[in-house]
Amino acid sequence: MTGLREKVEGGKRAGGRIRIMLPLGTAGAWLRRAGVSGQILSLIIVIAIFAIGTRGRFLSPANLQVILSLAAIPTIIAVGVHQVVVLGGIDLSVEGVVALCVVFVGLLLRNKFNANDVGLWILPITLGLGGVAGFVSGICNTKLRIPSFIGTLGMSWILWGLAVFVSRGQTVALLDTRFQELVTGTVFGIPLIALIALALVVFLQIIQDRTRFGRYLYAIGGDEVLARQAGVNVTRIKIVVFTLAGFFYGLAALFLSTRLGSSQAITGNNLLFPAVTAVAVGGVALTGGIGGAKNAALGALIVTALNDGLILLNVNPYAQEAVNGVVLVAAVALTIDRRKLGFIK
Amino acid sequence: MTTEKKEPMFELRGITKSYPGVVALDAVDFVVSPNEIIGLVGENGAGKSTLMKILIGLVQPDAGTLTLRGRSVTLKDPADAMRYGIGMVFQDGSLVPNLSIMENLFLCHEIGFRKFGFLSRRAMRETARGMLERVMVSEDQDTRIAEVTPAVRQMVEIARLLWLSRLYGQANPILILDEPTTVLTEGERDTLFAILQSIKKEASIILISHRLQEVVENSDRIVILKDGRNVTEMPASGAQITDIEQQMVGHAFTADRYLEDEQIVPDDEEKVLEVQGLAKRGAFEPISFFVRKGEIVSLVGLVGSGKEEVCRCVNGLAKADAGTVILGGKKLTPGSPSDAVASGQGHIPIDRRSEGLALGMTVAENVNLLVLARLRSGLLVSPARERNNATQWIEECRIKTPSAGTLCANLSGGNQQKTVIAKWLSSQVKLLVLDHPTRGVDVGAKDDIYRLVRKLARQGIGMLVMCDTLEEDLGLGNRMLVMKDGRLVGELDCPPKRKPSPKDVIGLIV
Amino acid sequence: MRRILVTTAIVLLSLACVTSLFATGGQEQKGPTTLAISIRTLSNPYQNNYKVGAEAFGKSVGLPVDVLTTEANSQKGITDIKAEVAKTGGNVVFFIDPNEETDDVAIAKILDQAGVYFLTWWNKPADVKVWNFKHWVAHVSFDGIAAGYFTGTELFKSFRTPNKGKVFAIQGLLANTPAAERFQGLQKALAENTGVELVQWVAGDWDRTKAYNQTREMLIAHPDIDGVWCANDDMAMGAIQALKEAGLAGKVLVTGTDGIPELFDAIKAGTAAATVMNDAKYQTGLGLAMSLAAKQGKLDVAAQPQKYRQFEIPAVNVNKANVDQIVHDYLDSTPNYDFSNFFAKWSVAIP
Repeated sequence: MTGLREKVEGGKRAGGRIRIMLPLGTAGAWLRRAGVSGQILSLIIVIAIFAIGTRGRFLSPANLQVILSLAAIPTIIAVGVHQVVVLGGIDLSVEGVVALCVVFVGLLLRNKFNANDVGLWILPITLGLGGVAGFVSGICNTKLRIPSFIGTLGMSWILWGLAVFVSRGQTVALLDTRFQELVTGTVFGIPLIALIALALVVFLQIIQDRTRFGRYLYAIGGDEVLARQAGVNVTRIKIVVFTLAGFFYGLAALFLSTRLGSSQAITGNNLLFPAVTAVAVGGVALTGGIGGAKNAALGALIVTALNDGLILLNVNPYAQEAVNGVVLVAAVALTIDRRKLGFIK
Repeated sequence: MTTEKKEPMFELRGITKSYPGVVALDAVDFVVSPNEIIGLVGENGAGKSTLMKILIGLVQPDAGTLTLRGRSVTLKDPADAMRYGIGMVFQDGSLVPNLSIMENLFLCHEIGFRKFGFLSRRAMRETARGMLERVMVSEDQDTRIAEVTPAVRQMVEIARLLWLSRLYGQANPILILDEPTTVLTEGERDTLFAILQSIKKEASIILISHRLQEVVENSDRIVILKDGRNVTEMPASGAQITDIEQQMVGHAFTADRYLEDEQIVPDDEEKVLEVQGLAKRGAFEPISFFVRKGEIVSLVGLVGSGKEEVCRCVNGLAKADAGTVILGGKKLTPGSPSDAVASGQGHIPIDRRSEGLALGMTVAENVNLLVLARLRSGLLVSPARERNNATQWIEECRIKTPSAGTLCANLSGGNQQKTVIAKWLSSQVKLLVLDHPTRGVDVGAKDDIYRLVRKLARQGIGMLVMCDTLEEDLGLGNRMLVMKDGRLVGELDCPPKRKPSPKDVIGLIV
Repeated sequence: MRRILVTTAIVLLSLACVTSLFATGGQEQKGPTTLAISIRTLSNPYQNNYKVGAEAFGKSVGLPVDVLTTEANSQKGITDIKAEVAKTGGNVVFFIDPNEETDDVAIAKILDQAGVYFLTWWNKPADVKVWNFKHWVAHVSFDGIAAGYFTGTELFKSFRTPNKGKVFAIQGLLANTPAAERFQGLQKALAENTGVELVQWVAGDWDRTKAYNQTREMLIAHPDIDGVWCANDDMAMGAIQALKEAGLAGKVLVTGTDGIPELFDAIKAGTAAATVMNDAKYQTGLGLAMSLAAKQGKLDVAAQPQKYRQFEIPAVNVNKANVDQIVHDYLDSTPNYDFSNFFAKWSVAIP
């Protein structure tokens, strides 16, 4: 059966992705199969450059702690966004969802503004709020057939407006410290918030690898029409993915506001671009179908480490912005197999 | 009926289906017996695809009965059909490219592999191995579909159908294969049929193909449809291709199918194309030939003879290691398709869906694509001139399209091919390379294409053709170049009415 | 075909809406003058106080107030202003905090043509002169250099060894006039205090979370820092939280600008050294009062000298010594501003 064994020319090279021979034996093989070898390499390069540039300060335990703690929230958001990207869509509702959730945290948790205190119930409340927002985005995308780009962008504006309306533009100082302690605490020197993010990533990765939901997610990302033909309930999977994304944003919102001990709608601003960058840098193909939770997490880690290193090196702030742009383009160039895309949109 | 000896598996009686304005199927009968391969043939529009859609539940008939294993059934949708053990391998494939072979095999039916809420990889792997062995696929089951050949994909689809019918406990499933060989090489085609013959022991197979040769060779029974009606059916052994073709189109062909009367005698002096010492390592050795004005030169040889590579080097899609290509007196830049086109060379590719046509554009847009500069009035393209140019070529090439504004994706294969030819014709090319111009085109449209080829020759366009059959090569060509193992081994003149017979050539080729 | 019909219907409907807006606008010319403010957003306490001030002034003169927000989108800002003019039939005066400097010219041309008086605050390109427009009453700004200078010197005083040590600065959005001015003020303070070294500065984009991240990272690079200067209070709050986590809050102080309640609390708690309060309520009050006076003919715009057409007023300096008084006067109550003399607080002309 040699005829059938012939590979499509070049296809064997994992479709043009850069394959790095890591001297790690089976671990190297696992990394290659898992599709994160390029990201691990990027991370190593980033770390190496900064470690040398800062004469080791970058690798000091204190800085590693800072990086892990700062990477946690972008990771949670990126993990939420990436599943929508895997589906072949995009979720731009992050900022609006976070804004609304943050405002509700301010109104319901013990604060200086009113007498409310829901205590730990705030966790299910913010998750639920985020989830409902995601669910509505999912309905817009599947039932009303609005492209995710437009639907989620609109959702972001709507929720942002709602957040400003509900909060009347006020910044609310939080008095509750339980969550702040949780978010800023450490276990054996590792920030607790990083461990929470890691647990979520591992959990979602297992779901993606080992359940039917994961299988269908990638089938839809690969070819929605074919997946539907095979019997996948595309609508349900999509709604679940958008809803899950909303949960993640809700959680991120809770952490964001409790960490700073304040709630204001603009907390949601400036979250989308880093999340999309992390997703792309992590090797999640923006065309859909490729990349998992581990990719999103690695991407967030790389982006955070990069920003941290640039500050430690005291790189000119004007140049820092440019570096971020270059990294995004370079990351997409390295991780996407452009030969398999018929054309570039 | 030729199958009295066997109890019929699946019986369709008096199937009628009409769409607004068309009767797609008119009281068609179709019977599937166990363990047989049925060749289903007919022109485009004969109703084959509607019949298949009814078989897999994609379309519901207006009238008629379906009897499966002696029981009357209705098939709600493809999933329902699959539960009865009826499945189809689609022409475009239905596997998700970014998933692995194994993941595709079990897609949407993983539930049986669930263990403590998670999918058991080991169990899936073992089952996958077993299924893949049956269709002789030796690829690792974790390979992504995007990375395997079309042949392997097809085998995986067949394996999936077999596995599903086993899952639903259906003995003797019915597999429908729609044009399975268009994407395969000759070697792969042989393998496919070997596998089908072995699967036949436990399944029935319906084979839809335009290649009558392979239908005759590999099926047990041939069913012919025309204009939505049963024409006839016959045992495959001993069936004559010309006979089948006549039944399909409904009239006898003229003796002069390739319009040899219209074959012109090219002027000796004017050479459109001159190839001198062209060579590419590993593909073909130095080769020299020429094409004269209005001359049709057919290039023949087995797969691997190097003929495809020669053409690719001529039209710049590949870069030769040595030698020159001179087109209309101008030396072409090696490896530059744009230079080739700019110098007056056209190329009709084998895969017109991906290379020859912009399917998302209209017929008019495709036809005018290369000549927009000529259709300008002032700085802008003039809509009136554009319309006129398109209408002229649509008429001349007999493109059957509702209007010039119809999307090419909505045309039949034959009309798409004619659109490609019209595109080059309107751009006044000097040389046209035709790569299997009649592949996947139905019988009636083939004649139109032959007529067009002659017309092109009369306009003085030189042509280099590679055809589906040796008869076609001989019939169309003024001259034939034979290649073998990367070398030019023979050159035959093919004057009208005194054409060499295929037997004369076959010795050279093999 | 259906799509074409739907599209046509939508286009016709929106045309009808726009024309009806213009039509009703024309009829309302006789009614009370609308007081309109065009500001960035309502989600920020400072910007929100624009609204409070405008409403307080509106109440005092018995006129309706409309609030337009740009949401950081210049195009939206300009379109909304046009729509407001159409809605009121030109019977309106404006206080405008332009989203970007470059919006001023477009806005000035629109309002000048419509004969609508307006006053702008904060953003204006240096080469665009107010006196070239008949209805542009004035352009006013807070003295950003003074603010940066005040917070800088207050911060340096708070060092363990006063006026000697290392400082780290978090700027606002780069290429934003107030951000640049405040930073210039800090530079001025640095020049006068040679014992203080600016070890590094970053762009915090006015964002609390970003400033928090940057301060945490900065503390790795400069563990021996003595103070953090921030271009606004939101970022200062982020920096304070980062210092808290590092156990440095109260030891290493922070300064901001704007005067948000949280920062006043921080000054009281001893984690922040100073801020400058931009009194938004006074801003809208003054802006609307001047524009209204111009419309009612009580202020002859053309007759004003150039120094009264482009000028700065000082903001309110806040430090540990006066914070309680300020909170009482400006936050717990809305002061009864006296707008009888528009130039009472005039400090310096903008050239």
